[in-house]
Amino acid sequence: MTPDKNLTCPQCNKSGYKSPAALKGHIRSKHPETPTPRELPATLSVKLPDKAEPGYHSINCPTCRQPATVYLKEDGTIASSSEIPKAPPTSGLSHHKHQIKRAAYPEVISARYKMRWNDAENRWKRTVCLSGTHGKTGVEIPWHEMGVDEFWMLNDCHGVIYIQPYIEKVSRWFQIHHRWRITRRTSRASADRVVQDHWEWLKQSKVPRIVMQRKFKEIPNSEEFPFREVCEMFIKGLLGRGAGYTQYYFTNTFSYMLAQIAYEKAKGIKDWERIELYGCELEQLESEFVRQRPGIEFWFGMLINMGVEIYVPESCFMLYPQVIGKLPTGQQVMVNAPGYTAYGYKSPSMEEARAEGQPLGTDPIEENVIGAWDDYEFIDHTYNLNEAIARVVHAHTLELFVPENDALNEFLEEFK
Amino acid sequence: MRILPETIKMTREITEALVKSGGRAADGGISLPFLGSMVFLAGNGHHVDIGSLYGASAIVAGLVKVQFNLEGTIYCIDPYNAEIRNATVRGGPELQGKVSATPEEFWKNVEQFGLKDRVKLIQKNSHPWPEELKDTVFASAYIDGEHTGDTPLNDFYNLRGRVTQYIGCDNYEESYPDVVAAMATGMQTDDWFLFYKNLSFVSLRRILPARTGDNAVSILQM
Repeated sequence: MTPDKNLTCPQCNKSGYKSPAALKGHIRSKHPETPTPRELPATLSVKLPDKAEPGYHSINCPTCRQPATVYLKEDGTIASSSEIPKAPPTSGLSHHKHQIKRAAYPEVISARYKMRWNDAENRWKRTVCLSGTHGKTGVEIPWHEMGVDEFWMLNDCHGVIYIQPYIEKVSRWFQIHHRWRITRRTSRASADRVVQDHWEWLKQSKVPRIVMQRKFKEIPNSEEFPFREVCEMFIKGLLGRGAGYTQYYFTNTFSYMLAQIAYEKAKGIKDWERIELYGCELEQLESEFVRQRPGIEFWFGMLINMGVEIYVPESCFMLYPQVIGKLPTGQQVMVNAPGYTAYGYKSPSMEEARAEGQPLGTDPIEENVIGAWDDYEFIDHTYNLNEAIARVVHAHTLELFVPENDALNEFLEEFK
Repeated sequence: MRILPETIKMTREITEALVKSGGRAADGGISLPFLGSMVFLAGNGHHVDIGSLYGASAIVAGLVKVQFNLEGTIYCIDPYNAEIRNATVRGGPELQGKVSATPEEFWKNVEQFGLKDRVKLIQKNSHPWPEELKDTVFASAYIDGEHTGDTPLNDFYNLRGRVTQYIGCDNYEESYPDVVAAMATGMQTDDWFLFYKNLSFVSLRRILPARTGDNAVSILQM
């Protein structure tokens, strides 16, 4: 490959410019009245062997004469950087090497086991795990834990990195959107960076049950969500509004999933006892999620009243009110405000109010009683976690090990 | 893992008592402090002991439960088939006591330590898994049954889905390659990993946080 130095100025016919940039610079400085040509002839011609295979080839850079590499396309021309095919992910090993094997801190998993266990009947509670895709708690989906009867997933999350490897564990998939939406050839990028066609995936899916608006002939495992039956069973004439009734109250797919659980329990199809919700945050920063939250809370209430336990991870935004905070960068973030779940709101705290010079009223002592029920069977989750961490820290105080190790060494000496 | 001084004291008492009564603890009881400390870490919940022989390992587990006020029963699985045990257990010249034991000797030792109500004996092989323990969930387990062939791996597979915290195993040493292979397999499953190893005792724990790599999680990130 050699440089073509014959670029010539169209105004003064001066030649020898070896790059369009050099020629443009000349035109701008010497002939400012002349508009700079939009496209100039290429300056470089590549001379590669006649039968060069497509792919990478070593050349000497025509400008700096240093060794360089170019990618030759099928048609024999040099590919621009955007045309060079992306290298496949090495061997896939890097993806599997760090596959998530645990979903939460061991103390939390241990507590979950206790909560999932039915002491009275010496068995696991009938538990269903519902999962969305939000990374905050989606990574906590308990794929490897015991005591979960079924995993239910939704929408096009089959490509999400912490869901894709475990799809065979999913027993039910909810895709309640309208057909015109789900037949669009778009989906979230999958873990192996191949964009999956959601509609195609639904058609070929091995998930045993795919719950949809109706049974679609293209999707063999699809089944119809019992919409009217559910509404008649749980809402019917109970939600009055204005001159009539609200006939249904489903604000997102999770609402349908929760309603399905209530339906199966009420009909005696399966006596669900516990629901665990992961990957569902509905951050109140986006209007879509503001619209979606009420339906979930509504069905939560319905299910609790039916004796079904609801569980969310510690950091989950559901079942908590939130306030909007701000990062130093100005970005808005959600912050859980647990104090607002009971009377004696924590915000502003007594300290904050005092600092602001607000009047404290006549009885500032009784600020908030949450967690003060020492005789309460169900220990406050924050207290429980703090206590667990305190135990861990205690167990790792090095001073404790000195006499213990001495005792152990003395014991082992006896076997020599 | 902290090796509790209490478990060392218990071990001395147990081995002494067993030797007096003509029995023995496996390897002179050298693994018992590790086992006892593991049972303590597992906390409340049942414990299952595969290969109970004279009951030393079951007794240390039971004593830990009692001393630290932990809930749970000690389930012992041992067919007490003297013919098979004599044929498969190699007794070295330094071995104190007989190779095989009887259920009567087991119960005598258990009763001596006041654990009759905390211990249950299932006089069967550990594989196939005893029907009466099919749905029982354990906080911890100890594998010290048959050390050869498929049995160690079958024991792990049988316990894998029934134990919530720790699986301990004895004879994790080169003399017993099948035991080593079984536990090495266990460590590489998705839900179990190596927790502790000392001499011939090894303990696996169910799922802990990744410490390195993309998914590493520290306490501060909980």
